[in-house]
Amino acid sequence: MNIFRREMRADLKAFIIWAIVVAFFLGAGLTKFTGVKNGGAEITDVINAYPPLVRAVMGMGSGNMATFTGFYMVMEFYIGIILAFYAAQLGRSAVSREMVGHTYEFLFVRPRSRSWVLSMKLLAGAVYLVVMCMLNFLLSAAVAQSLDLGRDYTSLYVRSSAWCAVVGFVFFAVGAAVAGLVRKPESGAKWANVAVLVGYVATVGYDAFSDHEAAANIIRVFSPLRYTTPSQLLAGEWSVGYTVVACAVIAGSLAIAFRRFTTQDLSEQG
Amino acid sequence: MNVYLFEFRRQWRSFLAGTLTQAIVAAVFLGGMYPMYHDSQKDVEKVLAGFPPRFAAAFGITKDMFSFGGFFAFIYVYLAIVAAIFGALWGLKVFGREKLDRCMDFLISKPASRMGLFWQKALVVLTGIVVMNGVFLGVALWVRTSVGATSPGVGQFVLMALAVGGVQLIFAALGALIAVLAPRLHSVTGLGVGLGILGFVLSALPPMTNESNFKAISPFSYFNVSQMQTQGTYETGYLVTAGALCVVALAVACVAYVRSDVKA
Repeated sequence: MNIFRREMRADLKAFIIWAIVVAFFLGAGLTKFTGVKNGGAEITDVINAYPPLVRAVMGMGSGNMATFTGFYMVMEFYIGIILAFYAAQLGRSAVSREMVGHTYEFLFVRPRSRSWVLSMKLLAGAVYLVVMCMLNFLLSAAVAQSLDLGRDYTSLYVRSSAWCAVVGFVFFAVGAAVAGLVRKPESGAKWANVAVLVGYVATVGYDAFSDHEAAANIIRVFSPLRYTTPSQLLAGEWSVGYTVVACAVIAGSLAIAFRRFTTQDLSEQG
Repeated sequence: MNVYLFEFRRQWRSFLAGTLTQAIVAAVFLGGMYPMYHDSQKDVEKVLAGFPPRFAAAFGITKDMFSFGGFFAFIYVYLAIVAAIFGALWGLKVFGREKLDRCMDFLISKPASRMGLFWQKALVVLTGIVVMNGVFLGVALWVRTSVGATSPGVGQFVLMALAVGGVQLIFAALGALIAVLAPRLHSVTGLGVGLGILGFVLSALPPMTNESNFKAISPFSYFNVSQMQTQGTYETGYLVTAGALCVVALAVACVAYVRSDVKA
């Protein structure tokens, strides 16, 4: 439990900072939604006249901004990006914290196996991730309450927070695996961020090619932000197949992280 | 001069990486996608023809939007995020190097004024920014010529593209400030990318909410690229804000660097 507590303390500062960013973004963004504006349908027609690639690049791929649900999906997309980055950071710092802080001796003289140590570290990170997703749900519900929308969208907030959790845990596991695979923590940070970037670019790519089914399905594997798409979330659906993909990625990445963490030489470089 | 050369030798790979990334982003977005965007003009106009004329004006849809400059204004945010990430990384890395490597005493014990050290380091970061934006500008102008774009003119387009360098200066100054003020530094990659992503996320708020107050906290929005395209000017107030932010961040960092106690 000591290790868990120590990890919780070490991750607290970053959590507070990103929680403030998420809270501010949702609070400031959602309260400014002014309802269905005049010409909402027309603007959708205009947007649909662009080719999908252009729409995706211009950030208009995610739905109709004139309705509350479309607007909310775009907000959640940015929350997803924050979570992807934050989760990758959590995952890799769980694995490489001792190397960065030169505290190997402190930790590994304790009578605990390395896999126990890593489990506790990852558990602490996972707790923060779950809390962040719950924060997303609570804030969405609370802010929307004050908007007087005339309809209850609670199930959308639940689905979309679950989507956040999937995005978060995929990048959390990938971040842990990457940190295990490289020797220097600094390059672990670099590659974990590259992974987030690839996920983001693949998301834009998926939006752009969503009308070419074969290509889109391949790109979608690399795009955790689209394992369940905004239109599925809006329609109340959940992509089971890609949730299986997500679980496979998480399991594989964690296996790599554990294998590397338990067998690595303890060197003090970097 | 020694410090400049040393820092440059340690940074040039990162400068190269940033320059190449930005050149590729510019080539792909401007060169690869602009033609498709331009071709969609007819379809969009066909849809617009079915609406009352006031409608297009109300939503800011103009012929100008389909020009090269109009497309640039749309993709500006992608160029800005690359610039912001690399700017923040360089500021953090160059000014935090001794803290990261725990060799502050080695540098500070040299017979050179701390003020001199600070500005040599600043000059290295500036070199990177100038090189990266010079190459980016070259690529952008080359694409502009090769797709046969005429609007906006070269001068105006250069002014639009300089916004990317402006964003990079702001984030480099912020990175330097954080590196100097932080009591300990373990890793800068996460911090630098975090700052860039924060800038990206905040830049979504003003256009989504139509609330211009949010522009004050979104450095990407200090440079109103679409206003530059349509009216040929940036918003003076925000331009001053951007400059002031850079100057204040650097001045505070400089004072802190010169005066602070050094932990061995």
